[in-house]
Amino acid sequence: MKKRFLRVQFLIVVWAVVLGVSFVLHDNASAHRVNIFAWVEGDTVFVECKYPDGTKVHEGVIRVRDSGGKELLNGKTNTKGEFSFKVPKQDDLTVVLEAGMGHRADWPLSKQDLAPAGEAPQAEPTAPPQPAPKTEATTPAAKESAPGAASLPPADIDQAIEKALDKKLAPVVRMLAEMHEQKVRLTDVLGGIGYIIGLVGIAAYFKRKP
Amino acid sequence: MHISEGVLSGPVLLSGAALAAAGTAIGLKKLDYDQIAKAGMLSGAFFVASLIHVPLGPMSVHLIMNGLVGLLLGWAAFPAILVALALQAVFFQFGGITALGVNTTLMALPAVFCYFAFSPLLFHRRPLVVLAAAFGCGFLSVFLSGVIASMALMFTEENFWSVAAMVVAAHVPIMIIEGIVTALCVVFLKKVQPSMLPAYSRKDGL
Repeated sequence: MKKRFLRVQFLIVVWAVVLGVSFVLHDNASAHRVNIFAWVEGDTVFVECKYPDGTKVHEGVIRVRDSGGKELLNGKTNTKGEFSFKVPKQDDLTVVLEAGMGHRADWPLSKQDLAPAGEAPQAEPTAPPQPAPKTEATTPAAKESAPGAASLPPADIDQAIEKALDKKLAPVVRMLAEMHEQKVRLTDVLGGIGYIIGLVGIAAYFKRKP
Repeated sequence: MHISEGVLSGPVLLSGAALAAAGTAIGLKKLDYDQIAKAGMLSGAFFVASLIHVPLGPMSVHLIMNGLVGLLLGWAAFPAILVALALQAVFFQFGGITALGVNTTLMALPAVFCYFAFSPLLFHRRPLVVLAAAFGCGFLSVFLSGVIASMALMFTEENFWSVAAMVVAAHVPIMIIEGIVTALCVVFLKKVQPSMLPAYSRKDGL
């Protein structure tokens, strides 16, 4: 009778551990670190915020600052840990995430990252050398293929290419964002436990009875 | 509860490290051969417990388990917690290497305190007293850790009461949960492996 009671208790403990682990895997949990990743698509900046265990930061405060430290805009992440805003200013921006209890992370966005296709301030210095090689390249091609393509100004072509690249690269950028964040991995947990077992061995060696 | 790197000032970090070194030295001296395996197990439990998050509304905190570690190990809680925190800092970037001393002190000191406060009550004749002692051990260890963390932060934030209130309030659910978990563990160990509990040899005397 007593043995059966113990077995029930043992099952309760196992159940509690499983429950705890499932909390780690599923729930909206916080930790000691937050990860932030921001990227530009066209004239919009997308921000993604996650905790190291992969759960999203919801209701995290996002502040966007310019190079002088002035706050340009702020907002809160949605339930998916995402936030987006239109580029407020062509400047070196910093996106800061504040997730409460001292959790803070930031992500720098340089001027070059923000430059939208065609209308970037950097486009002007690079524009003069561009037309010369462009026209050389397009004129022989234009004779063989559709003449309509040649009539497009180079700036428009640039813009179209930029747009297409943005679209095509979006999944890659998102994948990089996922790789960039540091999750707590099972290998780390097992490695740590291994270290502890090793240290127990060392301690047992030095404390052994002669 | 882990204090991150770059938050505290130099003197606080140094005094934390000094206290942790002293505690670890005492702990290693008091750790005898029979206790090593137990210390390792509890160090492992402490290492993993931080990954168990308890979601409560928008905020969530994780288990700490320093009460149980202290109750079962006494002074040996210092080296056990130091090892677990060092590994957490390296593998999970919880806390940090420079803040290791402060973090060890703020978690292990309440653990040792709880050992001296509650271990004599574990083999009390009344089961209710035992339960209350185990619960109090889990509860108070987290509370005291919060107080020490606030004291460490006081030198940078300059407002002890608001910091302390925030840290402690955020950890109230964890205090209650740790109290329950510690009570369950003690009841379980008393049935299955009473020799793991401290003051077991004093059982006949009580």
